[in-house]
Amino acid sequence: MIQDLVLQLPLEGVINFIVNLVFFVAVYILVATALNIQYGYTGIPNFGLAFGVAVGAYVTGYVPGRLLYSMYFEEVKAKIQTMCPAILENPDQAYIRCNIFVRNALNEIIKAEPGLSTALLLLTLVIAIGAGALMGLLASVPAIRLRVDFLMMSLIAIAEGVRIVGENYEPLAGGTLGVTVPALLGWMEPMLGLPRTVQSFILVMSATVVTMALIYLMLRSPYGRLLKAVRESEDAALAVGIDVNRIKIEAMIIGTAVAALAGAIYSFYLGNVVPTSYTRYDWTFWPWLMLLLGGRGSEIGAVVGAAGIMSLRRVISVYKHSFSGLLPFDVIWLERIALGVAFLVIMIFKPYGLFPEKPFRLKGVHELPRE
Amino acid sequence: MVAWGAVAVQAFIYSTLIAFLTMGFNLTYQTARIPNWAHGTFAAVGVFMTLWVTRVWEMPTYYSVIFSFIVVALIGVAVYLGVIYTLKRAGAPEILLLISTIAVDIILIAVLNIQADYIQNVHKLNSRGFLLREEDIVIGFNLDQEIALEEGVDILLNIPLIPPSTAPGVLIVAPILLLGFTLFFLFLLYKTKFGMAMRATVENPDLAEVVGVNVDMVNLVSWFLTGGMAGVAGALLPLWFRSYPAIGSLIIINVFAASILGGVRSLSMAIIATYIIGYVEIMGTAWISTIIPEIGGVSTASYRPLIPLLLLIFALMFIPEGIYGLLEKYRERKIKARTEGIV
Repeated sequence: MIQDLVLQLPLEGVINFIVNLVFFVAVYILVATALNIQYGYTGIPNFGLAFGVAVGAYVTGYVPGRLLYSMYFEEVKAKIQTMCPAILENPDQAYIRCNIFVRNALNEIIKAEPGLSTALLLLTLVIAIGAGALMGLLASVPAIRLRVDFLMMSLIAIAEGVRIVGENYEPLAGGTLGVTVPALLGWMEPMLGLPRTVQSFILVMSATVVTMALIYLMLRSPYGRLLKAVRESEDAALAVGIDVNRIKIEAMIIGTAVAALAGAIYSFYLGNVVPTSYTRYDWTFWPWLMLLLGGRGSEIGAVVGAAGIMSLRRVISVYKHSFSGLLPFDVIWLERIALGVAFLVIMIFKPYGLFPEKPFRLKGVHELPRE
Repeated sequence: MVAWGAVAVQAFIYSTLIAFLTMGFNLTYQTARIPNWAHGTFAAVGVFMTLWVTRVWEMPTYYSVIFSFIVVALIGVAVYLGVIYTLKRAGAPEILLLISTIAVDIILIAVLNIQADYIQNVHKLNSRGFLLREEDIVIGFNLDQEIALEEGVDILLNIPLIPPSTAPGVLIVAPILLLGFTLFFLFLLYKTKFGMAMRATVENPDLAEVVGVNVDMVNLVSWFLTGGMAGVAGALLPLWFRSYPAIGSLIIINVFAASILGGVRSLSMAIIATYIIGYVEIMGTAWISTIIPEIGGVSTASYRPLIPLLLLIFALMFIPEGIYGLLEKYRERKIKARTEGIV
C-alpha cells in the first residue's frame, strides 16, 4: 500500500521531497548538536533551545534586507512606488508593509551583484552567530551558578520572552506576519545556471559540513573532556581547578551560536522569517527528543537521532492530510501526543539512547603508548 | 484615562487565582523534589471543565469547581504514579524527572487541543479565546462607586472594561477558597500526624523513610491535593480571563517567578510573592500603556508576559534564596547579635 502511495507522487515531487528532507535533516543535525554540546556534554538542560534558533532567524530577517534596502533605496523606490505609495512618506514602515514588493525589487537588483551578495550572506551568517553567542551569554547570566532546576526554568522563561518580543515587535521581523529574506545566492541562476533549490542546497550543505567538522574537532579535543568533567561532577571539576561556571557559560555561548546559525540558514532556505514558526515544539522539544533517542553525549547520537526522527516526520507530513477529514480534530495533536509519549518511553526504557556514550580511552592513561 | 480601581480589582483576581497554583507548585516541589512544569496545564484542564459545564452540559457554573477538583486531582495522581514514581523507581536522575513533567505537559496540551477542536466542530462553540464572564453569578453589592463611573480599557483583553457596579462572583469566591485551602493546609501540616510525615518528607525524604514515613503516600496525597487546587484555580479562570488550551504555559512563568521570588521552601511567602508579581504585572502594564501606548506596531499590553519574566530574572540574580531566605538570614543575624552580648 505504501508503494502505491509513493508511486502516486510524480518524479519531480519525489526529488523535491528528498531535497527538502536532506535540508531539514541538515538543519536539525545542527540544532541537535548544539543541544548535545550544552546538555549531552556539559549537562545544561537547555529547554530554551528555540531562542537561539529564533535569534539567528531574526538577524537574517533584519540585516540583509534592511542593508540592501538602504543601499538601493532610490532604485527600489522608482520600481515600487506605484504599487506601494507608502514608501514616499514612511520608508521605514513601507519596508514591513510592502515587504513582498521590496523583496522582488531587491532580488532583481542583486542578481547582477555576485560579490556584494556573497559578502552580505557571509556577513549575515557572522552576525547571526555573534548574536546567538551574545544571547547565550545573556541567558546564562541569571542562573548558571544556581541549581539545575532553577537554570532550566529560567531558560524556558527566557525563550518565552524572546518569542513574545519576536512575535510582537514588528520592526524586527515583521511581527506575526513575518518578513522576506532577499535571495542572496540569486546571482547563481543567470551566471551559473543553478536553480533556486540547488543554490540553497549548496549553502545549507556547506554550512552544515563546515560547522559539524569544527564541532567534532572541538569535542574530540581536551576541551570536550573538560565539558564532560563539568557534567559528571561539578565539585570534582572545581577541585581540580576547573572554573565550572565559566565552562558552562562557554557551552551555552557555543551551543546557542550553533543554533543561531541553523536558524539563519533555515530562513535563507525558506526565503522568509515568520516569528510564529519558531515554536518550542519544533525547535526545543523535537531536538530534545532527537538527542535523547540518539544518545546524549555520544558522538553520533545527535546526528542519527535528527536524521531518523526528521525523516519520519517528513514522511508523516506528506500523508497526514489524507486523515484530516476522518477525525473531528487536527491531526497535528496526534503528533504532539506521540512526541510526549516518545519522551516518556525513551526515558523509562532507553535512558541512554540508542547509541550510548562510550567511555573514552586516552593514550598514556588507559593504554600504554606504543613505542 | 485608566480606571485604576478596576485595574486593581483585576490584579487582585489574577493574583488570587495564580496563588492557588503557586501554593500547589511549591508543595509538590518540596515533597517530590521536582518543579512540575505541567502545573499550569493542570489549571487549563479546569478551564475547559468550566466550558463543558456551562456551555455543553448547561449546568450551574460553580459545579465546575467541584468537578475540576476531582478530575485534575486524579490527573495529578495518575501523573505521579504513571510517570514520576515509575521513573524514580527506575533510578532516573533528577534531570530526567524534570524533563518528564515537560513531556506530560506536551501530552496534556495536545489532549486539551483535541477536545477544543471537538467542542468547536461538534458543539459549534468558541473554544480558543473564550470568555465566560456572563456565566458568573453576580453578587449584589456595590464594589466601588468610582469604578462604576470610570471608563477604562481592560489591559488583559484589550476591550473596554465592563464597569462592575456589582461584584462578580469570582471576586468573592476565589479569595474565600484560597483562604479555605490555606487554613486546611495549615491544619493538615501542623495539627495532624500525616502533616508531620509531610513536613518530615520536605526536610529530608531519606531520613523520613528511615523512621517509617511512607514517602510515596505523602507524595501521592500532595499530588492529589495540589492537582485539585490547580483544577479549582483553572475552573475560576475563564470567568474573568480569556482562555485557550495553551494558557497554562503562560501562567506557569508567573508561578515560577512567584515561587522563586517568595522562596521555594515557603508556602506563605510564595503567596505574597504571587500578589507582588500579579500587581506589578497588571498595574505596571496599565501604567506603561498610558505613557507609551504602542511599541513596534502593537499595543504595549501585548508585552505584558515580559514583566513576570523580568521579575524572575531579577529574583534569580539578586535573591535566589527568595524573600523567605532573606527573612531567615535576617532572623539568624538577629539571634546571633543577641547571643553575642550574652556569650
